[in-house]
Amino acid sequence: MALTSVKSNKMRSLLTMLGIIIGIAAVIAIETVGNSMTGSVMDSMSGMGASNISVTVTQKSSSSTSGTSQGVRLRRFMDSQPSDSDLITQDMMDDFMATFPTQVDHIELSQQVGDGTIAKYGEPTTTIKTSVSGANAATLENLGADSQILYGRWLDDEKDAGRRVACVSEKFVEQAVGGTAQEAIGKAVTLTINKNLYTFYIQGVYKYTEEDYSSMFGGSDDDSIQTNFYIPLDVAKSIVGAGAGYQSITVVANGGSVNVTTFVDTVGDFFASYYTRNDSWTASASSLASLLDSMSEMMSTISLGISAIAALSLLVGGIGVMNIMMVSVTERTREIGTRKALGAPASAIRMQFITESVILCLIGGAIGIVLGLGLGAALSKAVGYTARPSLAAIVIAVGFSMAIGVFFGYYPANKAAKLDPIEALRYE
Amino acid sequence: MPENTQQFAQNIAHTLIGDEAAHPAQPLIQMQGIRKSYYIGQPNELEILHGIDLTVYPGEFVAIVGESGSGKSTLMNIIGVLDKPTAGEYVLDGVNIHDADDNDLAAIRNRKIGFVFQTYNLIGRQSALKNVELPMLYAGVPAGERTRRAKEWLDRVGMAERMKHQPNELSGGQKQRVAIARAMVNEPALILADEPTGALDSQTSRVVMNLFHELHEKYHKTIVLITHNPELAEECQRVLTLRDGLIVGERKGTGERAAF
Repeated sequence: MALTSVKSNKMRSLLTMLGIIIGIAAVIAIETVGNSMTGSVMDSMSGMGASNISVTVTQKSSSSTSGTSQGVRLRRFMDSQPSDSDLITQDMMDDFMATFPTQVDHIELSQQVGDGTIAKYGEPTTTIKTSVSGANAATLENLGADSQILYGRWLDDEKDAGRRVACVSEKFVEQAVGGTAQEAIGKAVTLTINKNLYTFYIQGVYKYTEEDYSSMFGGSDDDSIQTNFYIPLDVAKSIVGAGAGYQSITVVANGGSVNVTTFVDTVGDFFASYYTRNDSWTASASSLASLLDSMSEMMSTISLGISAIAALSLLVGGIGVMNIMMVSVTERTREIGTRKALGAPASAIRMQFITESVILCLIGGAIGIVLGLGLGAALSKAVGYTARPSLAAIVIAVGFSMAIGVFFGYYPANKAAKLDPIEALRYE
Repeated sequence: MPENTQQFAQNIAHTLIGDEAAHPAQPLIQMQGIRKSYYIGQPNELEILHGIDLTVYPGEFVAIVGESGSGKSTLMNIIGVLDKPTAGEYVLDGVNIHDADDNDLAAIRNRKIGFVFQTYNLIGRQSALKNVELPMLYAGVPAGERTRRAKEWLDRVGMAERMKHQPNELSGGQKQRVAIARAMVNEPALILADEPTGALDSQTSRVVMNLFHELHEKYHKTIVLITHNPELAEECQRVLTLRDGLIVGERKGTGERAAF
């Protein structure tokens, strides 16, 4: 019964619903994007290890360096690189491991070297790029379940110190060395790093997995797949000319015996204690969990903003619904009079118009949900995440549309219910 | 529906079934000193009805005639309990209207009165069948029963063929026949017809009037016909003349069918 009047005024109903449609679509879209974003990040991060705590040497905020002169501070700001004496040393880490023997599983250390290229002779001659980095054994052994050593062995901190050896992926073997992965062990590879030539002997071949760290950020735009080329830490340091310290280390907590979220602060305080007398540098710790926290915090701020806009749109939409219901009541005054003459109690008339208003809003809400899901999916895709619709948002949207229908439909419906039957029957 | 309204509806049903059979002489409509004023307490206070006494017995076919401005419509609204009198007593089928609230009045209209309007007043965009079902919807009749009874009455008024049609697909005469089916479907004690042929041509008017006679003779319905057409009034058993808010004449109808 209520549907017939919506159907008979398709265009008018659609225009009325527009506010609701836009409001609901906005909420659903932003919720979908937010859900996709946090979901994807959560997935890729949990793969990387939620118990990782990264300790980084960072500049102290200017308030704590008030003693230094403007010039010094400016200079520091200009070349904001910590000097060798400011870095985290092996001694600090040894102390740390001794202080928290059960809480810490291991410490991962790495040194980025940069891109290495290999000339591949043939027709035409091509170059293959690889990402060279130094890593300690703990890093390599904990790369993840997918990155397992297939042939040979991982680098060893002591045995391989100073040796020109490398662990490469099977993809690298296929592209740059040729032959089977097994045959590649012991072969020499010459890389060009920063215009210098370096030769490494392949000591281990690890399994190549597509689900790489870089895929989280949309993957590389290169045609050739760039894989990691791991070399001993000290070799990497000597290539880039770095000192013995580390600007950044990764502490992997023993997730079974310690709460990572609270342990972060303990770790931060421990390393910061070495920097109390350092004017411009300190160490701070953050975990993926705390990163996620701040991310979802950011997300909720954004969705709060969008929700405020959506609420405005829904309010305007609701007023539109109220307006059109008023028009409908006026247009159908005679019908209301007739219904009353036929014995409709006021409650039946009120119910009829509220139902109509709710249906109007529900249809608007449904269109909004479909549009919002489409928009949200498109936006998620555009940012590079798989779309994950938020079920809670859909349920809330349906509930909200109904509530708007009842709230804004009540006044016109009540007006209809209170019409004097004689006046209504006489209405032209 | 509040409890007292339900109780009220039961009383109505009881009087309908029980007392009507036991006391056939009890009047269906009993009005005494009915007055109706508008703008009460304002300088332009206006009394339309100046004290109407009216008694209609079950099974009667009564015409109320009067010029426009005589108070016909006001009287009809009061008979049809769309409005309450300012003063006077009105007992409809044993129920004193004075004690009824709005919900009670709606229940009385629904179960005791069948309205037939000059302008048909069918609900647009709904089929003839749905229109006829409407009074039963408000009476709480189950859906299956509603459809069955609506079809039965559409068949009786000769509209069975067109029950799926919407009002805008029907001619004036057809619309009025649907409206009569709608008025009859709740088996009311009283049919109240306000200028039912006012918007129809002579041929269809004849059809509609014959239908009223059929309702009267075959189903023994009490019919109050309000019209300004004296010829039409002659068809009825009793003719009451209304002038300036008073009943000024009462006589028997000739029974002669108007030629239009």
